[in-house]
Amino acid sequence: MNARKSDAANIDNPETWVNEYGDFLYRYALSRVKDPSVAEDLVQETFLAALRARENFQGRSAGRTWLIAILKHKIVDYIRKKIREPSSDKIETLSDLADSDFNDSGKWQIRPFKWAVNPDKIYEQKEFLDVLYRCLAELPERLAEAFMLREMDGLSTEEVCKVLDITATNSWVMLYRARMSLRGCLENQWLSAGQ
Amino acid sequence: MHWMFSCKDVSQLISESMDRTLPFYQRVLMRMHLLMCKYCARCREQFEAIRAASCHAELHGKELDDSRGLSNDGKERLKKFLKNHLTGTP
Repeated sequence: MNARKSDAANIDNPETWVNEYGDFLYRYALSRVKDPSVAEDLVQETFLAALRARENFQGRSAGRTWLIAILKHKIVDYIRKKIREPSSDKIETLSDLADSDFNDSGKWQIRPFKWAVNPDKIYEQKEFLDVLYRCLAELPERLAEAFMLREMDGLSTEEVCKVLDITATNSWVMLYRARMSLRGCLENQWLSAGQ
Repeated sequence: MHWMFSCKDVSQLISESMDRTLPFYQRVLMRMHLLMCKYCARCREQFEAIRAASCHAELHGKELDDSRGLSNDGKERLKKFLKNHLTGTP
């Protein structure tokens, strides 16, 4: 209760925003855009939008949750603009990413292991999340964008297609390749660390 | 796709089923394959674990290494930016 009150007090006082929320928002932005100056710009845009919408906030959610929701919109806008620029890893060049998981007759080359994770309590498994972040950082940029828009920002596949300017079929292929790459990376890095 | 799906086909269908409703026959054949193939069933569990973990990514953000926080210069720039907007200074 006190934490909620103090959060509401912080939101009412924008002068505290940088100290209270700056690092959290910046880290989240940096995990999505990689470029520190872009991440800082996104935090600044988030604060500006929050300043303008402050009167509508009314403490319906935690300040942190409200600000991260704004930041997610800013990240989607940023990706939408950036995607119009030439990209180095077009879909065609990603076609063989998941093929090495299967032999010529379509059977598993390396059989998937049983993971000792409980999806309902996965947020408690810090090591798993750490490795997932590392694996996400290794994904080709376009795949990572498609995956994060879908799974972290909660966009529908139709919305992902609009943001990335791709067809529905391409979005399914990209999401499949992203999941297969993450699965393989987690098996290599998390299981080899002894889970 | 052949009427008997391979593990490669099924792994694609598992992923697609997380993003759209599959046609009836694909759904049935995928489920039959999953009943018989424990490795594809594990693949599905793994995709679901990855989805569940991704939903919590923002919770995890606060635990990322402190060294990746804003620089002092960056904090000062943001504070100045906010102050200017609050006082109406261009």
